[in-house]
Amino acid sequence: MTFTYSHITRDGVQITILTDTNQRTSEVHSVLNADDTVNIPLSNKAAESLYYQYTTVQDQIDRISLIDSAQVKDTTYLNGSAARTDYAVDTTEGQVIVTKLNNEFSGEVPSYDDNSMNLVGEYTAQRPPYNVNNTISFYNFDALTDTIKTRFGATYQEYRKWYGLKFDTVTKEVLAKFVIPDGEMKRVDIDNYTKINDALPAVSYPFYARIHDESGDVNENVDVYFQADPDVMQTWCTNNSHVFPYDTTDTTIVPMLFIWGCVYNTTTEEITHVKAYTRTTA
Amino acid sequence: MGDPVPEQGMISLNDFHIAAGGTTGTACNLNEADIRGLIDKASGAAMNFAEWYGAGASIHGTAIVADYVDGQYFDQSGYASGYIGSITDATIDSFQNSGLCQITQVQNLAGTLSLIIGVTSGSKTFNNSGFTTLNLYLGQTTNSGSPDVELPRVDANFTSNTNQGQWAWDVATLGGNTSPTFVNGIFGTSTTNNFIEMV
Repeated sequence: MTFTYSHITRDGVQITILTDTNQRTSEVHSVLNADDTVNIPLSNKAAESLYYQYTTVQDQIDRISLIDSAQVKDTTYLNGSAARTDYAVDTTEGQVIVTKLNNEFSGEVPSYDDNSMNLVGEYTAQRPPYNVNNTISFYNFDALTDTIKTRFGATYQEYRKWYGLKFDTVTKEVLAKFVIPDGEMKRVDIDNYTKINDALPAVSYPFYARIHDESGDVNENVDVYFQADPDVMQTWCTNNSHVFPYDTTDTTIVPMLFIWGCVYNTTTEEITHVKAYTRTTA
Repeated sequence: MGDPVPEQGMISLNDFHIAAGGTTGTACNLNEADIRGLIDKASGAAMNFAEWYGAGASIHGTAIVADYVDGQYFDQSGYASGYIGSITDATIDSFQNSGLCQITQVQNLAGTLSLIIGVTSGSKTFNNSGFTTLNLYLGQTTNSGSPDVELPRVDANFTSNTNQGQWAWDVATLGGNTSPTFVNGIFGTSTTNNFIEMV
């Protein structure tokens, strides 16, 4: 799809208008520089985000709504192929992992499966900060407790409704993944927030995850999640030498996509991995 | 918004000012954005007093039942055709020179409140015009009293898609938003009765 852009002032408001080859349009309030001139790259990106929000991004939102959260099977694609699978705790596959958690990590939370939206997965990590040992991940949709916050030194003002615990099945080490809204990431680390946003293409509904160990140390690798048009992501990966997460010849993947993620290393200041997630039923 | 301009008879600039929400008897002129906005005119455009007859009157109003979905990744609140909530009168009698327009969504999804208007049949290209303000009357099924939330069209981002026009407001900047968290709802966190009105 080819876009043309115009930047106008209407009723005293500076507006950026995107028009596609089918004459569909998106209008956003222009992003302004300090001197009130239009920041054209950021304004154009904002218009693109809005454009996709009601097309391919909406498809991904609908994917979340359509699947029964108690029967979820989420597949993570990384480095060109499926890397791991997470299951809702009430599924057959999920119950097998819940049993392992109860046997090996009992008492970490009051219950692993009291909320049917909870997700579990077992995998061998393929990226930092997780080491090469077999790991069980647990995503808890119960309210985050002060016990967990204190244990892992989390002092955020706002949290999303879920968080993760990562269990190393060999060392028994536990990491916590705290999921925070876009605005909270901006508040706690505006420098990296800005760099991540500058690095990303047009995306929608971003949020972040930061990994804490039991000393309260925050890992240098930060996750950002968002919805985005698959073609935009592919072009962006190509232009920035990122490995596209899935095999594009597999046409079954795009209809099942529901979210994307990137890993940003705050030390090297670069995006190290791009992830795509599909949602089906187990 | 104040009272609409009378449908007939003698009308004055003061009537227009009141309809636009101004104070009676105070200074104003025809080219002010809110006054010419009553009849969707651009700055400096030719205008005729007769065009203001009835301006500021409700373009469409309807009750909606807003549902709340406590989603795994996103919270949704409002009405979205085929997904959540219901609407009493979706069809707009006249909108952007068409009698075939209908409201398909008034929904807060992940902090963005969207008004989406589609067509009942045929095809149409929407543009960013046709109303001045979307008023939300929360917890009631009529437009009695003052709206709880007033959403000026000029504050919205706009998208024209295939047979759809979408206006989107950032909920964080709206009145009536009492929750400081990402999970917030203009219409609340349970099923509620509300009235929406385009003026």
